[in-house]
Amino acid sequence: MTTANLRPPTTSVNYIVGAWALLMALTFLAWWLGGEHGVATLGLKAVDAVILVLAFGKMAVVSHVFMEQRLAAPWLRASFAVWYLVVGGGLVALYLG
Amino acid sequence: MTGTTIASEPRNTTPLAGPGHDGPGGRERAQTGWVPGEVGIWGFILTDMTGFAVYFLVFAYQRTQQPAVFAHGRRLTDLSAGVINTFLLLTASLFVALAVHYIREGRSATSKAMLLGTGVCGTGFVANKYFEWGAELATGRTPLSDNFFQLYYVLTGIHLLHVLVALIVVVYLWRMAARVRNLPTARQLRFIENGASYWHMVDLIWLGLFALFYLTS
Repeated sequence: MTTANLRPPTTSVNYIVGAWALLMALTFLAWWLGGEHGVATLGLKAVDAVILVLAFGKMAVVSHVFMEQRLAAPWLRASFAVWYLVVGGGLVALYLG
Repeated sequence: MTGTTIASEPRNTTPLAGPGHDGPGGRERAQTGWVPGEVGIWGFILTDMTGFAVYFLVFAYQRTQQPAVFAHGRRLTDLSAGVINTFLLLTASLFVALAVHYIREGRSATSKAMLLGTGVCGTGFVANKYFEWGAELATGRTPLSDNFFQLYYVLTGIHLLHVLVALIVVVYLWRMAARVRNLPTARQLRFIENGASYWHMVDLIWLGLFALFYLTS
């Protein structure tokens, strides 16, 4: 199995913990939106779309920071970007359709 | 991977530097081809994610066919359990990322402590899922109830299997971290990055399941 580069990146602890705090905050927001408040504020379809966008945004944070893709080969970042666009776009289209 | 093989690997004696960060040439590396762990693990992860992509889209399509059934099912799932499990997996991922960070610095004991935290959070996820499913089944909501609950049990069940595998992987990561003296060898680091990437994938997939089964209408 090939490994392109054996010298790993170094990421500060603050950056990693900051990403986690952001993920937790976005989860709280999605939780709030998923309850009655969100529907009353935005309407059903809009809430669904926002929740899905938030979910895929959180996935992007996980891959960008925790999976260290911000430092990884372009093909790897592109693979995940395609996955987000196809799956996220498909879900939003099906939910709004 | 054996201890003999690991011991025969050259040990790094200076801090590692990498893409976009502390060492010379880092930015260039980011442009050319560094990946966490091995290329093979990413092939595996992307294949697994493709499978879940199909599951997600099938769920959304089925929802368009039976909107009332899915809306009713979604209202019956335990949102609090879903939120708790999301917090547990996100925190487990935090611990894994920190474990990788500390092992690169050669701080084996701290890395092991982080992996222990991962294990605790992951076990908490499994326990919470056990109680959540138990409560659902006790009220008569089974995989045979309707299309929503069939997908609910199948998809979260497949994900639960991934969590169980990831927990076993974490045990191996802990054992590998325990073998690190000074700085990790390239082989040790690849092993730990492979396992960490798998764990993060399990976390990432859960974020999608959480949105579909607990949050959307």
